[in-house]
Amino acid sequence: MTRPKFAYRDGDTFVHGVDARAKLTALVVVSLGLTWASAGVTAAVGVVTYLVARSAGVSARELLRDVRLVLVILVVGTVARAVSDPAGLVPGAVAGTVASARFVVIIALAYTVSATTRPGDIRLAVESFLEPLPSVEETDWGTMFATAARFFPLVFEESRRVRDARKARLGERRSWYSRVRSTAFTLLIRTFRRADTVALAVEARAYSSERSSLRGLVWERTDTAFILVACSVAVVAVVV
Amino acid sequence: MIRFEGVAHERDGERALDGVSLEIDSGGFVLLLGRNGSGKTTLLRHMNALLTPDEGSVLVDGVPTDEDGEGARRKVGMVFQDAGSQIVAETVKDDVAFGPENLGLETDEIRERVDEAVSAVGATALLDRSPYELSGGELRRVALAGVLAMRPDVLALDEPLADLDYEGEKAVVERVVGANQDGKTVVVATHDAEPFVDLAERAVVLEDGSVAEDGTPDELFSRGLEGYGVRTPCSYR
Ligand SMILES: Nc1ncnc2c1ncn2[C@@H]1O[C@H](COP(=O)(O)OP(=O)(O)OP(=O)(O)O)[C@@H](O)[C@H]1O
Ligand SMILES: [Mg+2]
Repeated sequence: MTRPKFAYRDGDTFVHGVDARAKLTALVVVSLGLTWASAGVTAAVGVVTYLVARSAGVSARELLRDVRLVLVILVVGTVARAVSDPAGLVPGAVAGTVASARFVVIIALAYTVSATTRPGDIRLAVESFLEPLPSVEETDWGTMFATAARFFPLVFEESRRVRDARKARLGERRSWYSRVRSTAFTLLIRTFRRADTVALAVEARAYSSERSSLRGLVWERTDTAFILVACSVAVVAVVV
Repeated sequence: MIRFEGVAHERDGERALDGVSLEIDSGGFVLLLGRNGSGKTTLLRHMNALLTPDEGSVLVDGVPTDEDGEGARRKVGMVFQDAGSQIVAETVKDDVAFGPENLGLETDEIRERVDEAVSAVGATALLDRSPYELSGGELRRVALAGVLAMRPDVLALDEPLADLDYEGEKAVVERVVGANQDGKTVVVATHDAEPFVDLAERAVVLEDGSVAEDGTPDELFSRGLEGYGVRTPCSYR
C-alpha cells in the first residue's frame, strides 16, 4: 500500500523522538547553511542526511520516488543553466549541479522531518516559536502551518483517488493529454472542496484560537545536543 | 467467472485480505457481508484490478488480474463505496459518458447508453448538473449510472444503497436485479442485506480478511450472523 507522499509515518526511532522544535530549528539552520556550502560540504551533509533518514526508517528509494518530479525539474534546470551559462558549458553544468544538489539535500531533510514529526507536533512547535511575538495569534498561525503541511499529502492522496476513479472505468486507455487534463481539473476541484470541508469540519467542532492541546512537547537534553550538532554543521557549511 | 486463489493483500502492514479462496460463477448474485474493516471493499477492488494480490491470484475469466488489469476492468464494473470519489468529469453527462468513451464507442452509441443508464437510476433530470453539487443520494445514482453505461459482465457494488431514499433504493435494486436476469454477475457488499436477501443466491461473510461463512442467504440468516456484526433482515427475526 502506498502512503501519501510526505506524510507522517509512525515509528520510534531516535529521529522520531527528537522534539519537533529541535527538528524544525535544525532544518532551518542547516538549510540556510547549505545555501553557502561548497560542493564538498554539500556532499558531506548529503551523506549525513542520508544516514539520518535511513536511521529514521526513510529509505532513499521512497524519497526518490516521492520527489521525482522535483528531480526532473532540477535536471532540466541544470541542463538549461549549462547551455546558457556565459562561462561556458562545463562551468555552467558544474554550478548547476552543485545548486541542484543543495536543493536535493534540503528536500531530503524536509522530507525526513515531515516523515518523522506528527502534524500536530509541528503545529505546537510553530506555536511555541511565535508565542514570544506580540500581537500574533500563535495558535491560528500554528494551525494554519500544520494545515498547510497536511496539504501536500492531501493533494497526493486525492490524486491517487482520482487515478483510481479513472482507472476503474478504463480511463488509462485515453491519450496522455486527456489524462493529464482530466486529472488536473478533477484534482483542483476536489482539493478545493476538500479544503472547504476541512474548514467546515474544524468550525463544526468549535475551533477557537484559545485552545489547549492533548499533546505537549517535552524538551530533553538530547534535543539540545541535536540542535548543537545542526548548528555546527551549518557553521562548517558556511565557513569551509 | 471470477476466482480468488489464496489471495492475501497487505495494507500498511496489516492483512486486509488473508487467504481468500472464492469462486464466483457467471450470472451469480452474491452478497458480501461482514463488519466494518472486514475486507469487503478490498475484495471488490481486487475484482477489477484496482488492487492486485500480494499473494495468490485473482482470475477474471481465467486471466490473472495482475497480467491484464484492463481486461478485468472491461469485464467488471465497480461502483465505489464513496460515490463522490468516483466522479471524474465536470457534468453528470460527461461523467456517465466517461466509461463508454474509454470503450471507444461511437458517439450515437455513447449518447444512447448515457440516456439509458441515467434513466435507469432515475437521474435524467441531473444530466447537465455538476456532479459536485449533488446530494448524497443523487451522487450515488450517478456513480451507478457511470458503471451501468459500460455494460460490464460483472457489477461489483460497494454499499450501493447507502444514502438512497425509498424510491432510489427501489430503482437501484430493480436495475441490479434486471441486470442479473440479463445474465450479468452481481456482487454486492452491503450492511443492509434486506432488499437483496430474496434475490441473492449466495452470501459470503468476511471476518478479518478471510471467508468466515459461505452459503445461501437463507441458510446463513436462519442461523444468524450477529457474531460477525451483520444485521439480520426483518424476515428472519
Ligand atoms: N486506503 C487504505 N490504506 C490502508 N489501509 C486500508 C485502506 N483501506 C482500508 N484499509 C484497511 O484494510 C482493512 C479492510 O478494509 P475494507 O475497506 O476492505 O473493509 P470493509 O469491509 O469494506 O469495511 P466497511 O464496512 O467499513 O466498508 C481494514 O483494516 C482497513 O483499515
Ligand atoms: Mg467498505
